[in-house]
Amino acid sequence: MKSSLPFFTTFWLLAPSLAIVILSLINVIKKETGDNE
Amino acid sequence: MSPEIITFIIYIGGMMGIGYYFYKQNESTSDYFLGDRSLNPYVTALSAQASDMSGWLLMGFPGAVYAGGFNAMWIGIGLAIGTYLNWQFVGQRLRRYTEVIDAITIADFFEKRFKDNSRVLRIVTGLVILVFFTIYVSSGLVAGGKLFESLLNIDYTIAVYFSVVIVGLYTVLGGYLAVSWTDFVQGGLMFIALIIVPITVITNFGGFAEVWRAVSSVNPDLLHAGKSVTFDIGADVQWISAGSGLSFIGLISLLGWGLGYFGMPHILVRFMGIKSAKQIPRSQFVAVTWVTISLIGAVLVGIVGIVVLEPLPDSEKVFLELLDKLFSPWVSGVFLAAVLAAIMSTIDSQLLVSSSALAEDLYTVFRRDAGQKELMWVSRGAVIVIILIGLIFALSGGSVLNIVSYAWAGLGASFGPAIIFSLFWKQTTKNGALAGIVTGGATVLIWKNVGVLAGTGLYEIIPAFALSVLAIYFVSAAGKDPTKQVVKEFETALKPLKNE
Repeated sequence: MKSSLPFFTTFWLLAPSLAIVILSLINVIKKETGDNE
Repeated sequence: MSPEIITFIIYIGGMMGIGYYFYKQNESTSDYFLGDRSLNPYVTALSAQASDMSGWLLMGFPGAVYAGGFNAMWIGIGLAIGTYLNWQFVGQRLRRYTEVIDAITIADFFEKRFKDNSRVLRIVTGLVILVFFTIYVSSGLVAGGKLFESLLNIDYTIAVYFSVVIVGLYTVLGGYLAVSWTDFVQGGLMFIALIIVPITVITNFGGFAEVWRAVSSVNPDLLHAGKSVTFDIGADVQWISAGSGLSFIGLISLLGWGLGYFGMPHILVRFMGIKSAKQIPRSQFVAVTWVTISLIGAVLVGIVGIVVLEPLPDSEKVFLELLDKLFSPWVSGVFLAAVLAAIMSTIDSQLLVSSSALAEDLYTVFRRDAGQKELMWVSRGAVIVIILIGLIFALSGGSVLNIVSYAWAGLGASFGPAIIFSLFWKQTTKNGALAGIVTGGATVLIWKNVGVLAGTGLYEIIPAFALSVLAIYFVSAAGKDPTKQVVKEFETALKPLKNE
C-alpha cells in the first residue's frame, strides 16, 4: 500500500496552482512599483 | 432545537440584516446592479469568487473526487487556470470599456459596443441569460434541497421549498451592494471551512501518509490523477478501476471547464463594479489565491471521505456527512452554514443578473420610457418568476454537478468568445457577435440532446466554444469595417482612463 501520492498527481495538483498564484503576485508587484515611479 | 439549527438561524438572520441595510441604500438601478462602481478590490475579489463557486464547490466537486479519486482534480485545475486568465485578460479591459460606453449589464455592453440600434443583440443576450441561468439557479435549489434534507431530516421536496423562500427573500431585499457584501462574508466562510475541515480530518486520521495508505487499500488508482475509477454503491467493491485510464477526450473535457469563465455574466459584472481598473491586479491575486486553496481543500474533502465514511448513496453529500460524523454540533453548524453560503452567494448573483436581463434588457424594449422605480419593481418580480421556474426543475432532483455543467457550458460558449472578440478585436461586428452567441448556445443545446454527440463523452463547451469562435471570425471578416466612433471607444478602453 502506498503511503505517498504518485509524483504525477502531486506535480499536477501543485504546479499549476503555484504558477498562477506567483504570476498574480508578480502583477501586483509590477503595478505597485509602477505606481511609485 | 439543535445547535446546528440555532447556528443556521443566526447566520441567515445576519445575511438578511446585511441585505436589508443595503436595500435602504439602493437608489437607482445602477446602484442595484453595480453598486455604483464603488467596491474595493478585496470585496470585488471575494464576492466574484463566492458568486462563481456555488454549492458545486462543497457538494458537486468533492462528490466527483469522492467517486473518482484524484482524476477529478483536473476540473479544478481547468477552473483555476480559467480564473487566472479571466482576471488577467478580461477584467481590466471590460471594466474600462463598460465605463467608456456607460454599460451596466453584459447585454448593455454588447449593444453599446456595436452601436446596435435594432435591439436584437440585447434581446438575444437577455434570452440566453434567462434560459441558462434558470437551469443554473435550479442547481442551487437542488444543492439547498440536499442540505436541508440532511440538516432538518425532512423530505427533499419540502427542503427545496425551504431554500426557495430563504434565497428569494434576501435577494429581493438586497441588490448588488448587498449581494457583494454578503458574498464577501460568505466567500470568507467557505474558505475557512475548506481549510479547517480537511486539515482536522487528516490530523485525526494520523496525517497525510495514513490517508494515502488507507485510500490506496480501497483502490490504489484513486491516488493517481492519470487513472480512471468508477463508483458503484450497489457493488461488492465500490471503487473499480476503468481499464483504459484517463483518455485525451476525458482530460480536455475536464480542463475545458476553465473556458466557461469568459462568458459568465454573474462573474463579469464583478469586474464592472470595481472602483478602478487599477485595482484589478490586487483583486486578481486575492481571487486566484482563494480559488486554488479552496479547490485543493475541496479535493481533500472528497479524498478523506473515501476512508472516513461508509460508502455514500449520494456522493455529493460527502462534506455534509464528514461534518456530521466528526465535528461537534456547534462547529458543524458553522460549517453547514458555509454550504448555504456557497449556494446563496451564487444564486443571489445569478438571480440579480437574470432579473437585470429581464428588466433592463427585455422589458425596456417594450417600454423605452420606464422609470427607475418601475424597473426596480420589474426586476424584483423577475427574481420571483425565475426562482419559481428553477423550482420546477429542482423538484425532479438530480446531480448538482450535472446541472451546473450544462448551464456552465451554455453561458460560457454563448458569451465567452463574444466577450473576448469584443474586447480584443476591433474588427468584430454586431452580426459576428450575434452569430457567435447563437452558435455557442445552440451547439450546447444540440450536443447535450443528440445521443450520438453526447455519447462521444466530450464536454459540450469545447465544440460549442470552437464553433462560436469560428462564427464570430468569419461573419465579422465578411462585414464592414467599424465606424470611427467604435474605433475611438475601443482604443480609449485600451489605456488607463483619465479618472483612474
